[in-house]
Amino acid sequence: MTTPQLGTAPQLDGGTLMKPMNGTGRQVVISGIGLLTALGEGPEANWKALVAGESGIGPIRAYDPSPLQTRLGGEIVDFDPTRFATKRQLRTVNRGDRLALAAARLALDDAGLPHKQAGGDELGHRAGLYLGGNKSLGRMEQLIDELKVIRRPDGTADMAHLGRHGDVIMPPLFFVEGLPAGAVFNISQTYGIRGSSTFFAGYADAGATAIGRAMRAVRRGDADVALAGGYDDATSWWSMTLLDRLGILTTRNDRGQQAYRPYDRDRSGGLPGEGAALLVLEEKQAALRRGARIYAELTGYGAGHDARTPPAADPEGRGLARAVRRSLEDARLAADDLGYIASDGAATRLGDTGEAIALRTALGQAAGSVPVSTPKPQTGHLVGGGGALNAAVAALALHHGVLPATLNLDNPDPACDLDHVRGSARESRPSHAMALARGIEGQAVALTLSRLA
Amino acid sequence: MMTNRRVVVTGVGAVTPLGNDAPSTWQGLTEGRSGVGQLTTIDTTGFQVTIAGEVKDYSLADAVPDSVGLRHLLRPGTFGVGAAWEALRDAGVDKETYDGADMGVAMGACVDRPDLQWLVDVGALRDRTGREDAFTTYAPSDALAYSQNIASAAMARMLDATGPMLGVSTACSASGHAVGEAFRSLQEGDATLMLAGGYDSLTTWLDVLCFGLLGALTHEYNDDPQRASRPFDAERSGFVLGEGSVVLVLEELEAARARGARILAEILGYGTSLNAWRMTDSPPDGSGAIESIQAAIADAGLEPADIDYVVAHGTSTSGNDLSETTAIKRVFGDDAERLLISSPKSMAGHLTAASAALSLFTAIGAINHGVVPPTINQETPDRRLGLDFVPNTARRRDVRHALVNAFAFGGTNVGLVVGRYEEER
Repeated sequence: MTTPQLGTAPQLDGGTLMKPMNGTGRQVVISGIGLLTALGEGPEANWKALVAGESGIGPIRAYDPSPLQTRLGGEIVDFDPTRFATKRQLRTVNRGDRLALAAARLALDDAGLPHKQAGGDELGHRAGLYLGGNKSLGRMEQLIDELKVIRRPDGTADMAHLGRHGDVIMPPLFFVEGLPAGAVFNISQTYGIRGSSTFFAGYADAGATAIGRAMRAVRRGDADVALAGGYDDATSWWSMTLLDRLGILTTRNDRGQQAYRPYDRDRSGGLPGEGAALLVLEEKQAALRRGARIYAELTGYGAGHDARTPPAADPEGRGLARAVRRSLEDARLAADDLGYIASDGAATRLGDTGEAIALRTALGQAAGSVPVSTPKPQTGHLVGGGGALNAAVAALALHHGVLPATLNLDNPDPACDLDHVRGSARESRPSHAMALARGIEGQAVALTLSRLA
Repeated sequence: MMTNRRVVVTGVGAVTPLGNDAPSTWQGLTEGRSGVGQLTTIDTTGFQVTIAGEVKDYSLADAVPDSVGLRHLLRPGTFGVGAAWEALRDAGVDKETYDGADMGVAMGACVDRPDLQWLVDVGALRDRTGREDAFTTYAPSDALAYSQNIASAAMARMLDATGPMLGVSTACSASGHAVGEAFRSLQEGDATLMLAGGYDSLTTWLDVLCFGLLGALTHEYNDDPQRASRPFDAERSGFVLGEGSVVLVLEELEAARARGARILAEILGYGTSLNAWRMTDSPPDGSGAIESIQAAIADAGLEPADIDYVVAHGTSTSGNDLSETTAIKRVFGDDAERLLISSPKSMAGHLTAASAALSLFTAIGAINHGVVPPTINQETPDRRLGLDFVPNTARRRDVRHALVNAFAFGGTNVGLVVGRYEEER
């Protein structure tokens, strides 16, 4: 095993790397959490369920999943989007974007920010919006239905017919609804967020990247407050047409809530979950001045990539090792400062061993003594929102002084030798925690969070 | 006080409707040549819009000698990887130049579009089975190809780059965000080198049809395609889809100097904003765009008076061009009269997720060659706009600082400021 060499180039040596980072002296805190998962709504309900070891996994019910190899997932059964958006808005907002819109409201309210929908003003030009997801187009059901008229007797598509009658065939709002950054638009318009922004597409990395880049934007002064995170409708039939056969999900439908077992000897892949995790990031002094409740400080961001041919991950997780080291550098911490890691836990053969190797590479000896767990067996893998959920879990662990356990980790695989929190939640008051995210295109992100001194 | 590391451009690559590499694209831009023609990649019989700016006679195997292993790439991805390869060679960079962990990739792109026949087949399946929720799943290789960042991952493999991987998906401003976030990553010490830009090919059945139904595409020039894209002209009637890729090599200045790199330009400023207004229109008063322009200029430590050239988003839609011009007038005041403003979309069409990178490429060309590419098809000046859009022929002008505008559906705006490289700043 080789240790990734960071800082071999002279300009990355030692102190010069650090100087620009905190040059403004601005620090960034998490003052609001908006969570919507199969476990519940809001940080409190989710936290209670996570710590209690509850599972939100069940047979997929929103449609008949029989065409799928993987027919289990973490669905949000009682979600009512009309609580978070007008009927008119909902005409152009698909399931994933609805979850994002809801989590935005939950996060802003949790932070106690007096936003437009709560009788306050627009958040305006000093408010940023950084999101990550895995969206592709809008509701496909209607499109498939309307396109039946262009089917010729031999089954082929008559594109000329579509061209001539496109205005009556194409659902009028389908294309608008399908805008990848649709949630950015809807949230910005609903809450009057007009500041710095972007939208990342990917897997678990996407929402984590959004949080990392938003943290940097607040740190450098591009924004004073930012809403950041990820979301996905990963259990939807359209998402599953793409995810089902990639070899990353378990087909052990017979195991029900025990099917998703990261780091376990009997692991066989992950399960999808739908949901959203958005954080309110705020410049620390501003948050303190308004007496905000602060969950944690966001102190480090690091990113990496496996540079292998997807879906194969690097067997030693070199992209993740790079991300972890960079995140610690950014936070100016040493490996043994970490007291908790909310891990990726894909539950694939190579994913889990690669993650463990990456942590040993990046953290050295400390890797054996940092408690590690992942919420994914309880919520399912939120795909575009998976990394952001881990960031929320790490923040809540620091805030509550409790580390939730990895569900279903009955027989830890010796090849994933870490200090797993398993069986039941562990009382602990770590000063620093890390949230990990990996994407199947090779991406890796590590966010470092710190308890306020 | 923030002490940023400086970021320079040391290589460019392009695959566009104007040419399959950077030199031929630049030549097309300065000649005022149109790359728009009849669509050939889809059958447009019956379609209201039949034209686009297509990349012609392109093959990744020809462009990249060692294209073995570049599997899972669809049309946009082949453009991206070809442009990245050219940019790396232009910069004299390979996987030995820096440690892999110090190199990363930031690309604006879009997910692939569903195959029309697949959608029809699913409809047939639903009819046959009587189940309205029947469907079939994608083979793994198709599902991966559909994924947005597969081409970016191929670029990372070229460099064995294990640094940051940023995949931006803000549609028509995506490569602006990608370059901007790469710029920040280099300023903040996350990498020493970033491949940054975009790749896209929305000349698909879905986009030609749906952008058309939204009224965003012109359908008045199907018989005269080279005159179709006419930003800022009074006779403009919508944009023209294009496709392609532009990729830049961005490097931290001291590292670039230490290896004796040729420096093409310096990225000086990045600013973003949200319209928070309407999904598919820009505010007529220019708000949103005003803030991204101001933020980018301020980030560069400059004043509006320091800008010589604006590479406009200039889509050729009635609304964008009016809103953008209004924003420029608001930010630059009387100084707007002095500015040169042009839109490469008049020649290449709208490269959507790759369009901001093409605009940046245009700005870098102007800075290096002292030539500002024109806005072509300027026949009837729009009196409501009334600025110097460099009509029809390129103009000699010493350009020290240029502003690039990029806007998108959803109201996500980007401003980038690029300048001539000067040792002391």
